[in-house]
Amino acid sequence: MSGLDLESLRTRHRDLGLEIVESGGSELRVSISSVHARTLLVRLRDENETAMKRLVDLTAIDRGGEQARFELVYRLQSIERDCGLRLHARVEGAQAEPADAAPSDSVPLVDSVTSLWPAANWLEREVFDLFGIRFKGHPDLRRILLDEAFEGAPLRRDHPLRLERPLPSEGDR
Amino acid sequence: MIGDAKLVGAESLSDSLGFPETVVEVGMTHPGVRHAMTAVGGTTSFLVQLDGDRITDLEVEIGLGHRGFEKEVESTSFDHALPYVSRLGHAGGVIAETAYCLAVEALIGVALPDRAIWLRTLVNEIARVTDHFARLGAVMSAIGLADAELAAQRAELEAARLLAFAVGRGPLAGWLRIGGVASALPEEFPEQWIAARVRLLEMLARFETIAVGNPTCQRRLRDVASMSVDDCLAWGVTGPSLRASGCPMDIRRDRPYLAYGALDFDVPIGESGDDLDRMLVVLEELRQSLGMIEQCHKLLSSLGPGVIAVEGGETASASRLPGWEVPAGESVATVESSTGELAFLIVSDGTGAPRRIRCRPPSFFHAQAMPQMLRGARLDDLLPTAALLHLVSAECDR
Repeated sequence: MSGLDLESLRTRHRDLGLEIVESGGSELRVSISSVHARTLLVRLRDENETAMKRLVDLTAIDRGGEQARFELVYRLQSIERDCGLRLHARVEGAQAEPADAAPSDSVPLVDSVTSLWPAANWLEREVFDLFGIRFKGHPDLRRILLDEAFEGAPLRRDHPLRLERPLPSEGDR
Repeated sequence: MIGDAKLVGAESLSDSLGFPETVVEVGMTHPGVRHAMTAVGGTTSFLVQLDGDRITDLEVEIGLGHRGFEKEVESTSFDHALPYVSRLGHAGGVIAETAYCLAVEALIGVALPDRAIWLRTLVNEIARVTDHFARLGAVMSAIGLADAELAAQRAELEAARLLAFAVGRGPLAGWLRIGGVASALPEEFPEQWIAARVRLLEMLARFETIAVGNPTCQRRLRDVASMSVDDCLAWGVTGPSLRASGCPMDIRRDRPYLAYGALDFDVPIGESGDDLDRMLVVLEELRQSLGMIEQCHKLLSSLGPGVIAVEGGETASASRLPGWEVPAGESVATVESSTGELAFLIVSDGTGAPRRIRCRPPSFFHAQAMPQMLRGARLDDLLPTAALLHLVSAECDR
């Protein structure tokens, strides 16, 4: 259903290092460095050729490697063009953190897109909560699913599946 | 309820009464306690900031029921996901299972047998009918129309019974398999369905008479929690709530999966996106779903008995993932659940355990948009709106 002109997409965003991988699924898959992700997202949203007005979903993947360990995934949709696009943004230079490092020590820092789509607010909070990736410019970056007293980012590959560590009770905080 | 804010002039009611602004916590309740907060029935709670009975701000608290199933599955194997996935909704869990199975099947490259496709479609629609009636019952409970609530609950029970009968087991049945379904319809299904269909249509008509025609219902739902199409798209609101605003987006028609491409159905839309429109859209969707079940039933009857699951190696019933090798790759499957757009993104690195499983839960987006919808509304409007959004705590929390 891809109503997008791949060639023109490639040429127009060459300056940002856009790579297109056709996944054969229902949406086009492109990848880019997270440094340029926000610039590209603004273009994809505002340019007439793409008109991706809708942020369908935002999540992260821990690839586990040394370089570009984390990837942010933005799923976009254009109702006018009747097509979808999945942007994988490689977060480069992020080092593996010990599982219980406080989120403030984490290296990954990515530009927030909450000002582009209000729906990104909770989605980025969830990525922050579960992956410990921080978003620059987020108005209210705090945990959303887990307790404030929880330590670590459980969806990181190096976070153990089972961990006996009771949360402090209300009085001890 | 104290009269209009107009009565006390420009200053706020709280000021004129000499009270500071009040914050009230609504919920949470144990998911099993249906009547205390039927509309939500779960671990979501609301911190409501009030001026008189006007909502000035709202904070939706989610996460208390977080199971971390994505972590669990990423640490074990693909087949570990299904029991968690079926708990992403009440009856609608089966729709979430469908999305998950479709995503895994796309990775493996399984072509489903025809019967499995039609069976899944049929059961998906029965689940939608169950969920839609549940939501109507919750709305009526929230606005205090007891007879309409009872009518909706009876219909929900009827649909839930039909669902249990069709899959041959109770709720959270684990009926779906990667590559098909666990069992065909029982022999007596046709007669059960024919009788249930008549009763469900009667109950639907009765509900419309006593609810939609009721002035209380009109007054309580009209112009409450309205959302424009642009707002819905910006906040990621989907499903009946988006269609109530006038945007005819329905995955079943726009990007057909299962057998929806071959079914004849309408996508009802509303105009103003208020609670009343949401309810009217849900009512019409019920009628459309009953029509779809009838079409699936006719087609399945003409197909007769036969293969209902692709077997990857061993017998399909012995294990949930019989002999399947899941290759490296990525896939996305999107379905129209009774709540909205539900999608699974699955990333496999070929090791047998998924690298990443991500569920896009529609309720999460709806919960996030609630403050936007409800600022300026009355405290009384909170629960009917939560009910019409069909806020599923399990989906928000995962």
